[in-house]
Amino acid sequence: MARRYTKAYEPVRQYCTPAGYRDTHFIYVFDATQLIDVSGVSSTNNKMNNAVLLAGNEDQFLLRGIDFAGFTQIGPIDKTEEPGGFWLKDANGRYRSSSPRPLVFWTTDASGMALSLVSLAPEIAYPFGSQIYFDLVGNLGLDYNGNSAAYSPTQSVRLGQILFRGVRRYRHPEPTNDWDRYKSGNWLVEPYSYIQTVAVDWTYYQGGVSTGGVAALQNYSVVVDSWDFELDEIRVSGNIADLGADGVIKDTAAMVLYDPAKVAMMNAPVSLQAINSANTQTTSTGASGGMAPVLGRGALTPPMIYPRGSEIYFQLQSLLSDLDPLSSPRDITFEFRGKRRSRLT
Amino acid sequence: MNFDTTTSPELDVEEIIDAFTVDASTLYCRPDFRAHAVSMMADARGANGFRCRFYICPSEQQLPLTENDTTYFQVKCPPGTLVWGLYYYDPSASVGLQLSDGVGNSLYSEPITSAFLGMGSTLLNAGLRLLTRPWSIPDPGLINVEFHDIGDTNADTVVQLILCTLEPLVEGADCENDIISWRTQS
Repeated sequence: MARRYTKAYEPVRQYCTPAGYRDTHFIYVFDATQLIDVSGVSSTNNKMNNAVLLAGNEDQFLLRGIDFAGFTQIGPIDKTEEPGGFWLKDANGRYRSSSPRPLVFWTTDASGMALSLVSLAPEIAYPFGSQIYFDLVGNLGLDYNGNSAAYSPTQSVRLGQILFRGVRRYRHPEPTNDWDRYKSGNWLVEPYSYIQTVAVDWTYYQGGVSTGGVAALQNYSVVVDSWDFELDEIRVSGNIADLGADGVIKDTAAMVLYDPAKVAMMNAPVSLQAINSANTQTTSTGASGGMAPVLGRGALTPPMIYPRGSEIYFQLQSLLSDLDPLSSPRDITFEFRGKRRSRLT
Repeated sequence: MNFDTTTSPELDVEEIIDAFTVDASTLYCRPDFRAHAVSMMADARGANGFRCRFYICPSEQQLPLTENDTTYFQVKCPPGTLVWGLYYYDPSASVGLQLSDGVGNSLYSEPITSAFLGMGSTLLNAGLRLLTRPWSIPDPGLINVEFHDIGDTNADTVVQLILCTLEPLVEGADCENDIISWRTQS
């Protein structure tokens, strides 16, 4: 007699790439700087129906997590007030929760920036050409100064970004993904890191803040030599965040990472605070380098394969202000961490 | 032991989900590196025939490190040893580290500083750094460790590196073999 058990609850293997498709890590960036509350008090203005357009040619974008990066505070400036919320919609404009998800995150002790992750399960699929809609409602002072000071580019340049993390899913003929080529033959696989030091010696504004023109992004590449390289995560060290002249932590630079075919893996420069896979513990003097063990959120899911002879190409945008006396050139060291593979037979 | 290098390491670890362990967080895509690294260690964690062993370097005779100089240290281990993680303690944050095996394959493209290794200027306790996958040490079983002191004024730099390894057991090498064989009998 067959046993009649209810099947135990088990998670769906929803993060595996189905046959006939190829997934690449991608971050859609929403620049929330325009939403910053500059009044110094809590805002009760709802910012409704913000949208991020899916600009790529992917078949689907699968949204798996949302980061709030670059803010020193998300939530009402007056902490005794009711918090505001983040209300996500799917591609059809339907809300994905009965009411806004409360959003409160403060790091007003200048020990770092707010980096709050909202994980989504199951993932939400946004088809080609759709948009990610969301509302910011209620008391939500997205005050990235962490104090009542109004935003001013003359003090320092800061990003307040809402990052929509996930994968771009493309229809792809067989073999279905980058890992298929490793299924035949013997491959020697070793852990490996590419180290690259970069000097950010230009400022956000081209020719000074008075000109108003934003400087171009600078290009960098790390050559992947004789082995295939699987990039798992990026760690950043150095003064990736500084204490500005106004006493508030700010980013040094933002980054755009490209895949081996030179296709961007984010649609705008992303704060290094959010790229960095290590938790940054910046001291009040800006002497960074304190990094906690591997608990950061900057890992690529799925990892990206850079074939031998290709290059890890990335662009940096300086967030240094020429009017900030503490914004001297900064050295940043990147560690591109992963595995390298070499065919033995 | 067979490391599956052919698939994406996402969610490769089987988890038992029942009423006692159900948790919405198990459904999330884990965008942190640790989940990847742990999944790559899954086979090693469950393997028989290995024992846990930690190598500590440099030797006391080499401390403190000479200023603006490179100190070399060599770890001798059985071929087939798997390095799976390391601790690095460098309060000066000015000593770069490079690791390579006996045939010259290095772990980093250039020396890496302690800021990346779970140890920073604001922390006194060194954190465990998992490698992206177990690093197999080939014959003749050597790990070359280089400490590059790039400090300007730190004449008395003291560092400590702990290599976390799985050491392959040789038949009859010690009493742990008996335990292993007992485990595998069933």
